[in-house]
Amino acid sequence: MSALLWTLIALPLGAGVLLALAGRRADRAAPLVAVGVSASTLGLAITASLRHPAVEAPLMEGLPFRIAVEGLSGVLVVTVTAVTLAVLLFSVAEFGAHEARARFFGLMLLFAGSMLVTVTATTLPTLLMGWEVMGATSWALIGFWWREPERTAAADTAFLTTRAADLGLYLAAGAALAAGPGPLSLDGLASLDAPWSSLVTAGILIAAIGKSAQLPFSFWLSRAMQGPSPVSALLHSAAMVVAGAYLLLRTGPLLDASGWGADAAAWVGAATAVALGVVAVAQTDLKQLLAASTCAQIGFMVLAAGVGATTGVALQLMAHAAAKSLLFLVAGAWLTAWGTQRLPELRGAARAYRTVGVLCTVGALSLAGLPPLSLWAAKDVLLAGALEDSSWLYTTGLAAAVLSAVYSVKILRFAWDRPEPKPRDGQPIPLGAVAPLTLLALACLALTPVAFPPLRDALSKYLGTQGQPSPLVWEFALSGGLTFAASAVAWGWGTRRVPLPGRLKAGSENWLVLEWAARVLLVSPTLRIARAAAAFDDQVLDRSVEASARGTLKLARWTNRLVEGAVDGAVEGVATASRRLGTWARRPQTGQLHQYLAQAVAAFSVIAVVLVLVR
Amino acid sequence: MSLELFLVLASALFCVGLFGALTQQSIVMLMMGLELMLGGVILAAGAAWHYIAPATADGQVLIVVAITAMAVEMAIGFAVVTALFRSREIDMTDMAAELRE
Repeated sequence: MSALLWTLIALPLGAGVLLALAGRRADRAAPLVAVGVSASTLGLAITASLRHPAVEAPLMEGLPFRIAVEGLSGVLVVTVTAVTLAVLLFSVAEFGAHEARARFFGLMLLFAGSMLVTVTATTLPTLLMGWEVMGATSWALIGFWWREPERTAAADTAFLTTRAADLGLYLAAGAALAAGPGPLSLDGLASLDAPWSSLVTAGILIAAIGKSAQLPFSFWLSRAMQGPSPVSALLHSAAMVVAGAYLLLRTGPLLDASGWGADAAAWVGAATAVALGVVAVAQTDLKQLLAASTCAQIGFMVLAAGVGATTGVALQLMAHAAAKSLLFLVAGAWLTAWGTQRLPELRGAARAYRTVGVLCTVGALSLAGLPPLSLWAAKDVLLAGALEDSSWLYTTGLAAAVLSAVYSVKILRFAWDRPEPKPRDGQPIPLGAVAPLTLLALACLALTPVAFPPLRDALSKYLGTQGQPSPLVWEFALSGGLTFAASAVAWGWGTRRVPLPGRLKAGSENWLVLEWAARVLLVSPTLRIARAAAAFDDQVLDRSVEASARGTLKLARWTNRLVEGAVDGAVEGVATASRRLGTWARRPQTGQLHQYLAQAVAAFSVIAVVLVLVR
Repeated sequence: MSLELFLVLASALFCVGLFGALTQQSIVMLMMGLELMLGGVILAAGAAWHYIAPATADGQVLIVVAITAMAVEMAIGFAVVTALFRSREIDMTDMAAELRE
């Protein structure tokens, strides 16, 4: 049992590290190895999700490394590994042979492994380890084409933003430790005392909305689109961005216990779902549109995590992972074929490659939440939980659902428009790339019945969350009708420009100028303070040190000139005088006895004269 | 005749010899001064033997040994002086100052 779980995380982590370290030597073998590892990881994940293993290893004093697969993490483990496999299969066919494939596949595996650690962790330190490796690998993957400065700059922005939010997790861990020593298990956080539980809640909330690209951190996801499309398909649809929502769901009891955390999460999610929905509608770049829609869709999950609708989140998570990674991969395939991801230039792309076009349609319709596809029912399940909490939340959620229909249909309207574009460099989409797309589209369809009883009840039982509110017929009808109407209007509007008031439109196209705001409010003041500190360092500290050194030097020269000369001269003078005296004293010592006698006679005569005179 | 008289004569000889040794610059004269001093000492020793312990012969032997030693010393001294004079024409102490420093 324990070997199963250890292998589950060690296999992708180990293979990823080895591949990434091997460098270009392993380029030829890398795809095969990665797909093999990924497939076996999927098998292990499915086994693990059925068997519910749990393992523990000593890490620090009183803080063990503890991971377990149960309920929600079982769903996530399977979702992550399945999407990883699909994305890697796509990358094998699509990722050019001249690219650094070993690094790419190694980092992807490393990322998947750290995501597995994150979702299986049951204590805060373990979660932090996975969380940090995940952030670092996402940076390396977004900046994969590191020779282009704008891509590395985008990676830096994404990394810095999520990293800044990650500090919340450290705050939470610190506060939990301060409240009482213990293994810091995620389930035990709810029983903390009053002041500490609020701190822990705040920390976890910040870390989660940062990782999930919720308001106000959404802008990093826009920049992250500079990475390769398979990276976006894995990181920015199924794995990294859902980690935040997952964390909120795991710590649901804590959010409830803190008294304000649950409402805050729900409203942040709702606001993101609506605001980023508008952003997505305004985008003209396919990947940017998908990124904004990811924020919006994860907003639904965060909302549901706030109101505790676990089954709804699990449904939404699986269905969204399948649909969104499908769409991202389609965008990647189109980018390779036409060299562009701007919607106006992709006009009629679906007509040129019918198979890909149909698959894209399945994904987009699923994302739109059109009945009877999975996301429609999933949204209703989680909105039923919101309705129980507050009708305002429900209304906001419905508005966001309408928006998701609008932007999804927008993709289709452009893709199926006439006339067909001429393939620019005539690169056909390889067959090997179509296969994983088909798998993902089938997954979209296959997830539909899971959202309805009796499969939904089975899922609830698996998650251990029976007795959650289930949507009534009128809710299904209302959301379905609204979605249909919105889709029809969006299709009818066609490829004309989005009818939004000027400033709102400009703001939406710019992702609500969030990045600008972050720059003005946080980055610039920090830089200014840093510059001021540097100036203080240069002008005051540095200069005072220099001045003291110069003063010392001057004092030393003055001492040398005045005092040293005198002392030196005195010593020299004494030496010279002694030498002269010595010479004089040596002169009478001739060794001649008669001369000594003469000297004695003279001396005694003088003494006699003196004695006589003195007396 | 008495011991005192001999001792006075011996001290007079010694003093004359000392004066000569201190004042003379000529090596020959200086050595004559030394001879006079030794002569004074030997005279005092002989007088002391004769008046104090004439019965034992030890004093006489001692005096003969001293005279022999004196004669050998003087012979060596005159030999050195002769050698010096032959090689460098030196007959005064001031001229034989080459051992200084």
